[in-house]
Amino acid sequence: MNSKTENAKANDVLNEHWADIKEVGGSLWHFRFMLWMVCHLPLFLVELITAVICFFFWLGAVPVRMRSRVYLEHLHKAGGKRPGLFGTYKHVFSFALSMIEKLLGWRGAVTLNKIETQDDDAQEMFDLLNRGEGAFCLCSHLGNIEMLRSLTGYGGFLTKKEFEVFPVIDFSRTTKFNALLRELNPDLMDHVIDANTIDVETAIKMKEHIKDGNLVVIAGDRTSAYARERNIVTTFFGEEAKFPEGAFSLAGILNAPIFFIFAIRKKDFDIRSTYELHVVRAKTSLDCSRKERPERLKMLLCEYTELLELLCVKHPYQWYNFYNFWEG
Amino acid sequence: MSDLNNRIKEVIIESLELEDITPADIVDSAPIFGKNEKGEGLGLDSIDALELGIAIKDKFGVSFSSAKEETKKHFASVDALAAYITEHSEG
Repeated sequence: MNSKTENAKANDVLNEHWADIKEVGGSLWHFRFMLWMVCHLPLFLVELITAVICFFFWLGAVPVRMRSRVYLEHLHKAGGKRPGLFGTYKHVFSFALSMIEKLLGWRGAVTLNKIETQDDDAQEMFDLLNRGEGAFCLCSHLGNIEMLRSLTGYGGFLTKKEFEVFPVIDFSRTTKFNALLRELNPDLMDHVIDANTIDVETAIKMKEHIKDGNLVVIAGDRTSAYARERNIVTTFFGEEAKFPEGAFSLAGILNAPIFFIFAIRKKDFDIRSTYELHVVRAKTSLDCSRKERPERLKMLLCEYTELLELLCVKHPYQWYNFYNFWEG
Repeated sequence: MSDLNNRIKEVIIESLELEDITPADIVDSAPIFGKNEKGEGLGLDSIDALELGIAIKDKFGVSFSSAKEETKKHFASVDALAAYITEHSEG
């Protein structure tokens, strides 16, 4: 094969929209094995087996390696760690661990003392929740989104008042894994709002959830599979990248306090690790005229990406976007 | 009926801050979102739809079925919206 076609192939891999990439990680059987391990083996052994399996997966998964490298190199250029020979392996391994975390989380096996708040705006959010007010949260694919969802059980621990977390998630591309999650905990699935069917009714529901003192959480770092053209572009790690307009616009439509929220493993490669819970109140308010809104949305996005960059540099391998974020 | 239509138009204009448009400019049968083949319509998009939906709910106290196609139908035009509100409002 000549280098021209190889280049073209590489470009194809890197230009794919994330929603066109098939569910990585294989068949339901693989996930079932994962679940079996989580239920029956001590966690250190689960980590060890996962590390070995990931190694062979990593050897064979050329597109995954390429996409991961694009991210790690952007990070490096912007002052992050230099990705070593095994950088992309670490990235894959960390992702596999995050799936195990998910299974643990959905089984309800996450313990309360594992969350460590930072010296940020967390208290402000807890005060808000204690007053029975809700908020809109922008999270990301950095760290453990499930951990945020399992905050639902944290009423009485972090806050005096009970509250629930309603995540907005696109489940259409990970159907097999989700089938398993649903089996594990059908009730939790009821809390999930499908990102692909947001309509007037769901928007009204979200507003009500917030009014009732709950959190509605959506990731701000993955463009919509449903409305691919609705993006806001900003510089992310030194190069322009697209972010979902809808996620940020929702903040304005719901007209609620906005927080950025992240739960990240302190130790990148250990699922027994405690979690850093980062909560930052957005300074940008979307309570403005519609004319001003595009500019405010951009400001909100910049606040978000600045924070995301900072945390990505600290925990590079916990960012789980395995597609070329800077495509096109 | 036409009074309700006018109130709907006012809600549309107010909630979406359509400064250059008066209720008289909005054609009752024209699409609210996008435009029809005659070029009529407000040309609003899906994100506007969410905002308008919330405003309509607040003002008229009607909710919308979660079946996507249904909701789309109700928001087809001011006439369609008026018919829906008449049918579902609580009083």
